[in-house]
Amino acid sequence: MSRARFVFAGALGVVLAGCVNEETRLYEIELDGKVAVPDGAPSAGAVHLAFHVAKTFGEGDLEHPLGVFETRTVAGVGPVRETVLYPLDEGEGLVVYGWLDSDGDGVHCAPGQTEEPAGLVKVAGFPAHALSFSLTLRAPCVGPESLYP
Amino acid sequence: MKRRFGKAPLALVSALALSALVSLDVGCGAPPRGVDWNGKRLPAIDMHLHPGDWDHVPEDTRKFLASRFPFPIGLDAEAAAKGSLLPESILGEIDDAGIWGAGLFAIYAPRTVGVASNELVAEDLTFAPDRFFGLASLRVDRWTTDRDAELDRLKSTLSRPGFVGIKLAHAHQHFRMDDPAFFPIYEVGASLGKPLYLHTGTSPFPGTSQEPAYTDPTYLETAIQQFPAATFILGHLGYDFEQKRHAGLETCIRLAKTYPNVFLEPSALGSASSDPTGANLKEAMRRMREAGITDRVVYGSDGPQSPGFVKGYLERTVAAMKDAGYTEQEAAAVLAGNFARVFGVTVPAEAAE
Repeated sequence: MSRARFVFAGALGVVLAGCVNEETRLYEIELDGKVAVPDGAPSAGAVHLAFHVAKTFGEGDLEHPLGVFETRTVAGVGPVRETVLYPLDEGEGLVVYGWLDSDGDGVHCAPGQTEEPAGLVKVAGFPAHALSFSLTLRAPCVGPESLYP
Repeated sequence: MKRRFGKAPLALVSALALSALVSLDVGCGAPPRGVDWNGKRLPAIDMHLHPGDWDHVPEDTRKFLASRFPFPIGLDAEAAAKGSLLPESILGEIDDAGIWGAGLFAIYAPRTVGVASNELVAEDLTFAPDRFFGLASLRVDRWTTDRDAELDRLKSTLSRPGFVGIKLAHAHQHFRMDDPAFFPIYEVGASLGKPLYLHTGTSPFPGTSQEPAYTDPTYLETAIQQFPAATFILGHLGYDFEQKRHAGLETCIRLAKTYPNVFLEPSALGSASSDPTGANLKEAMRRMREAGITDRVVYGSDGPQSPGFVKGYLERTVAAMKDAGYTEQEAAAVLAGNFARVFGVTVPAEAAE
């Protein structure tokens, strides 16, 4: 191997090693929750849930609220039990956002279609391996950014 | 680079330097200004360039960007990126491409592409005040608490010399295109007569909101209707950068044909990485001409990305226009005339000579 090739291989190795050595610390949380709609509101349809860190780590201008780390779809409103893996190095606090897929199209409030309610809750007691939450979907057609902070 | 490769043999250092020089396409003397169109030179303005500060780019995005730098520049992507984001470097890139003017974008997207502040852009504008045009932006990630302060800051920035418009990216900044809570931003654009540039389509950057409400230009229609005095420039034509295919082109064309306050900008989708065969950019330029909306198309590249990108993207776009049979008048409108009209900018004679 020529000297130039040797150095190139070495540089490539350093770059690859940099990727291999990364690690993510995940914290398992079992969530026992309840998803509801206001009394009398339509409740049929699957519920799409997104789990966010409440505040993302970052220096100065790069610090910001929210940051999704897992999504799930459950059959409908009612009791929910989900286990999520929280990325400890990405932020702090836990937020659950959800919306009701009333028309079953998998899209939250497609233009000209059904107004579908959303909701968000900051889970109390974080960090802990077992947490509970209660989420009411009452705000039509909004993302988590309009509900938090 | 010196620190990292201080003891590297001359062969590697030489290869790095040679590659950088080749990619910069360094020649003898400054290239002529303007685009050659059948022997006539047409002025060109690139409305979409990103200055910035590498330290204000999230770590995941730095890694992503570094992976896109061509070898061997990517070996020290940090140095390459820092250099390419400087105003003198951007000016060098547009000079090398024969481009006269450039739009410089501020952006506040801490979760995805990072922060290039209004203050940074204001400072960069002073580097070439006759040729750089600033597009201001604002933070929307604490909208429920900071809305009024952010809107005031935006208005204040837009009153500064050189700021001609507003830059937004719903997918990178994480706010729905149809959420009325954010409509006051469009109201600012309308009341101050400052056009709004909006990223449409998905994005390859980590952390992007890829759902339709954040990427599909259909979701902008309510705002477009509600603010007829605001000018909406739909960036990237709703392109799907994940699948490397058209997704919102038809919608963008429909919106431009339906509403006089809608303009389109075909940046980035035709890059070598997003459109390897070049067919998608050609199709976009052809379909916009067939739709009769060449007076609504504003040229942009989404550079500087890597050395030579700004020039290469202009060449691809010009080739696509020639391929689609654009007339000289249509090409002139796309390359500079529409920008001048929309932003109220006078293009001097020396822009193409």
